[in-house]
Amino acid sequence: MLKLFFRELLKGKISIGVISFSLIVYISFLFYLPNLEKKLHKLIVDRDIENIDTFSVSVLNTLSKHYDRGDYKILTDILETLNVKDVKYVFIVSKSERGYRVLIDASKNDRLPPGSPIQLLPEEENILQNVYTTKDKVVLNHENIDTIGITIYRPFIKDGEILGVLIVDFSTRKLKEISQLVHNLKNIIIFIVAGFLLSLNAVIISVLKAVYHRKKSRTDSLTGLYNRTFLEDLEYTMNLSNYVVAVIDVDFFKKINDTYGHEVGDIVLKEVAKILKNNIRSEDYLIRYGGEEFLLFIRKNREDINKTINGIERIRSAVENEKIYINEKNYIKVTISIGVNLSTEKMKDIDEAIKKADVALYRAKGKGRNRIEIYDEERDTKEATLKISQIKKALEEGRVISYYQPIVNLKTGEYTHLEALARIVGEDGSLIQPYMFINVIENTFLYTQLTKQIVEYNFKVLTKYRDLKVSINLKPADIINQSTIDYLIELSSKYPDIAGRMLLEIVETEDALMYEQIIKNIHSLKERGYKICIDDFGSGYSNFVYLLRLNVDYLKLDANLIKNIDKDKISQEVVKMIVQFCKKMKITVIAEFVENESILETLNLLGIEYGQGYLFSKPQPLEKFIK
Amino acid sequence: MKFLKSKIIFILVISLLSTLKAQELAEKYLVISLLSTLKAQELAEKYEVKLIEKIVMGITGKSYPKICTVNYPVDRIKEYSTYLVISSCKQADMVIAGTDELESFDKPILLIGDTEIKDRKDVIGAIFWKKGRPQIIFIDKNLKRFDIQIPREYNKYIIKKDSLKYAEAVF
Repeated sequence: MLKLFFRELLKGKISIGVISFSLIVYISFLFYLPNLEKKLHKLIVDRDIENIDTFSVSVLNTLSKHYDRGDYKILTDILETLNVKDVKYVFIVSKSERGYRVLIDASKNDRLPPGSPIQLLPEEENILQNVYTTKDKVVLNHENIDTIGITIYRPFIKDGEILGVLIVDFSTRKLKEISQLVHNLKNIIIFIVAGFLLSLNAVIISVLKAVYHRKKSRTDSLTGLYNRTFLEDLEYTMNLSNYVVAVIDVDFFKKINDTYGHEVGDIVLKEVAKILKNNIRSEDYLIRYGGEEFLLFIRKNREDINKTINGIERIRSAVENEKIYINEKNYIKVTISIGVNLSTEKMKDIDEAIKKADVALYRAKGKGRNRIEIYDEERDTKEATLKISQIKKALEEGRVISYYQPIVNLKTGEYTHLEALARIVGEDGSLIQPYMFINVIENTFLYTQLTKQIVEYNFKVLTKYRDLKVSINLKPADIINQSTIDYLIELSSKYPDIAGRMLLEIVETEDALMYEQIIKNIHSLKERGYKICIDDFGSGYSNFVYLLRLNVDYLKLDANLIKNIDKDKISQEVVKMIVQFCKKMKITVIAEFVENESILETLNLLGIEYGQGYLFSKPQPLEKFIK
Repeated sequence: MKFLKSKIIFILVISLLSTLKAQELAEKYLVISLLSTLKAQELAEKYEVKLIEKIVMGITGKSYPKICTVNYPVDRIKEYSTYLVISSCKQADMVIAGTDELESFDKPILLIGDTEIKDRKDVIGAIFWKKGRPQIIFIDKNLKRFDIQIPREYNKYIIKKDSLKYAEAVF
């Protein structure tokens, strides 16, 4: 937050710089104003006073020459020469028994007759005393009173004897003018400073607003974590090589959503986010990357990378051991799969680093979930996926073909169907396996296109070879995709005898098959003659209700159930139960992964009629099966 | 980190408040400054009120003497005096008057302003301005009539005459 604030602040650094500089200049000037006032006083007032004082010396000399004549009018006339602009009162006082009396008065106003008593200000009495003693002039700036500004006190001496003291009072007009000028300047500066402060605050407020909106736009509203927008910023600010990238996926999240509803799904996501957040350090970044997918950038411990891995394991374990309460009483437990990319220094950008972590995540999921898989450059390069553009090009150029693996009658050893397995022929002629492209285009329009091309390819095969029965693999996503369904229906109308020789193997992943639309679509495909097979039954959320509701023709047992069936009694019991159920429901059971004689023997004992696997044949081009 | 954040927020709030305060002060300052131009005589007025306060307190010997004003701005007293209590003239210890044409309250009157004191028995003294300086006089006869002892420092301002007249020229 703070970093973000300063970053936003720096964006407006020019305006802030100008405002701050101006503020410093104006505030400095404000503090300089008292000095300026003093300097102006000195410059204007002191100069005037100096001039008049100099002149007063000669006036007093003249007065002393004429004083003995006793002509008050002449004396007044002489003194009046000092009565210039800005001089308010000019008079001479002499000390008497009861204070001071006016000796000669040449003031413009308030002129008093000679001999009049005059009460001076308390501070003046001391000054006059001083002048009488020192016979020297004194200048006083009146601060307590504003009827007079500055006064000069100069002794009136005749024949070495002080006859009185000349008092020249200056008006406050000039002083007031200077003060007013300085005050006005001060006001102007204060207003400018206030204006600049307001502008500065406006900038700060706008920065705070920007920070707020930016933070909001970069925060996931459900979990409070960063979202993908933040990832874009991070790309520019983070040194990727200092971090380990981990892609975290909540296992079976769709199942949770479908079973408990989206509200519980949201609670799970929030809680998982909280657990993750509590188990990372402040220098790590946690981002909600997708629906149930989180992205974690963990600062590397360069000395011991195992510490980083242990940290990730701690996160996985924390989620596994946490009870997530979905209401006051009930809780569920969830697990996470984590794909880790440790070699971020070798990545050209964040996207590549994430992609590699995603490859590891894919492997973690494939290995049974609730585990951490680390991206292995050597191994995973071999398993590197194609780019979307490459797949698109292959589809456009019709380089998508099928390899086939036979489904064999276990009693006769004859194959009844060939399972079509998608392959892409690389531009160099190499054969590209489905794991390298299926997941890349999942949930994109290319996936639908791929399905259609496989269907079209096999329709051509079935048209050409009238005795052949082919099975093709579909995902629940295909069955819910109306465009794919329409295409299958269209082909069945065009080639009515072919649909009956096509087995549609629908992968049993999660509860997707329970959706009404899927059930409806499967029924309409069956009406068109297609045979329906549930693939990978027993792998995850096997549900016998599917089999009843979907009215399937075939059921293909998952490889996990079969691969150890010759040794694993539990698998045998489960398979036995499925076989009994299917016989009752007239569903033909096919076993995958028939790899050896021992498995074959067990399957025969369990009464399974059909099987496929390397014992019979690995996937091969069609030509291998055409006599 | 949390402490730093709260510190930053505190500084921002203070800065905002200080801006508002600065604006308020600036406005206040401008008003005062404009008023100070209009009130050119305010220092003299203050000086005068302080002088009245000192004299009244000295004469009455009270910490909070009661006064009433006649033809003298009472607001000026309220503005600059700390101790003078404004009351009705009947209850006042002294009357502060801007003119001598006023009814008699049988209370000592202090006249303020450049006015000639007529032969009134209740006017004990006056303050007026000459050459930008306050002038004080006390009338001996009337002080005695009210049996008033003025502070010693004012003794030199006591005049024996009935009314204020300037002394004759020394020539």
